[in-house]
Amino acid sequence: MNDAEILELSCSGLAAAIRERRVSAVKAMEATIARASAVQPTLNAFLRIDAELALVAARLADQELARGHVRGPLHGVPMAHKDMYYRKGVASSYGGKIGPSRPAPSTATALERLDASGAIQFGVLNMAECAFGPTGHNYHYGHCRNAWNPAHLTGGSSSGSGTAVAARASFAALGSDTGGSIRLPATFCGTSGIKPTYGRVSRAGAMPLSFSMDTVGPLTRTVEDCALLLRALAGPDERDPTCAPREVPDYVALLGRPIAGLAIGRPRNYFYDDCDPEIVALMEASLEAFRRLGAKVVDVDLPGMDAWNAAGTMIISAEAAALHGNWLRTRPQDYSPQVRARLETGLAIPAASYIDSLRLRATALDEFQRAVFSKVDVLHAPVVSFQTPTIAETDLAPGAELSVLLAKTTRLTRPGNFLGVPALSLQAGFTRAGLPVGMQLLGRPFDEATLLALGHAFQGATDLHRRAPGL
Amino acid sequence: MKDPVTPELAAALLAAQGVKTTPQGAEAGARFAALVLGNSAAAFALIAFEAEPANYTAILRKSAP
Repeated sequence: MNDAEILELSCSGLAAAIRERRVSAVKAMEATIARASAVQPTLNAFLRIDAELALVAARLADQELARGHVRGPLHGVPMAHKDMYYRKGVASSYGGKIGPSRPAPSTATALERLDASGAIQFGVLNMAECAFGPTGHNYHYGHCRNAWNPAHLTGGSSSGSGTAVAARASFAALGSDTGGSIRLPATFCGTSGIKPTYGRVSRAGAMPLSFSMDTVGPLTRTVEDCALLLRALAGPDERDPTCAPREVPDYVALLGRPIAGLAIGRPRNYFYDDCDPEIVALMEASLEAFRRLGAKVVDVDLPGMDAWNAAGTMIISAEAAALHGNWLRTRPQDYSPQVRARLETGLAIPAASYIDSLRLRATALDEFQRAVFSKVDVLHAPVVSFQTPTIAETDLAPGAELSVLLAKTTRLTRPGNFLGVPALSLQAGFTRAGLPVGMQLLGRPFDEATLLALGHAFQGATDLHRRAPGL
Repeated sequence: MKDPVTPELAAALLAAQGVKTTPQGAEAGARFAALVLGNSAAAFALIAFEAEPANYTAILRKSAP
């Protein structure tokens, strides 16, 4: 198997090839590092590549395999992750100057679980500063660029995760999603990605942004890989008190469950307000594909979305401002002007309004479930309402124009975080300009399995996820 | 009607918390607070007196299929 053939494999395909000794873990790692190094000058996706350490780990993986020991379903698969997951002995950058000055005393649960599954981390990825930006701009380490057209933005905050996975420079990558930070880069870069239910995956050892809304999840090339990684990541963790004490289903085994007869909701309001006609057409085409697979499409009316978006924004802003308060007082110059201005806004939120935002969540979740899940199994919607802009046209100083851009970018994703429901993003098509567009499927709490089964069936009937950028 | 949250008010609130903001930061804070408070006021008015944040986690976990 040559390097190009290796790099086109999914995580599950590569893991099988390594287990069956058709390719060695060392060969896969060498090919990945060579690809990552080759695209880095164009994409600026990586903040660090640990080639030497990763090759040592890959050699060890091959030796273990030779002795008949398979660590787990990701044995030998190379991955890089957003630089906000703690690795014992290493200091994360948080994508900026603010961050821990000392090496982490312990490793994030998410990384420990991927390690236990056999995945090998070979580097850390660019991200929005402090994960507080939905576009992929980074004024400390340079903007991340879209693998499909480097003049265009990647989406954020998991910007490096999206573009590295799309560029075949990492087989998968951890992102995090507080207001859309997995789904936005997945959409703009043409990958799959899942924001799990709040509490499904441990946040222990992940940089916090908003402890009431933060979720941890993977970006991958296929929905099958999302299932594989989520199976490894999910589950109770005594290090994270918000982590749900629930059994984890075998998401991979459940991918094959029949989807005929499932009802997919198409929102009549909110999600299609001022939506670009090409995106509307791609959403309709994806719904038609689901119909051909035997699913029903049912129109639904959504309650309360604008208020929930506002309340979610207040929660994130107030919690982020509290977490960063000390640094805002003592080291304001170490933030970019954009992130500093955005963080400071949280200090202008009255405490009672923050608490009301939290009090509203229960009612909102109840209302949303009655409006949606009493009629359908999942809700289908666009992730953004506009086509991928260029980096230059969205490179804005703090001000009204930037505020409008940021609000518009997260308008369709943030309600999912406020409600805490799972949301799968996957490729829906391409614009005439050749840039990818994604859809999101939102499900009942802890029902990631239905989203993954639908997404997997869609990818079985389409080839969108197999298309690669011509870098 | 005059904007309910002015940049001066936002800057004063931040200063009271020990944060010296910039003119752009004060303007952003005022714009943001006015927008999100305005968009949520009607929904907040309907929240039950007894509602508390912990109910959310209970409903989330109870709703699992």
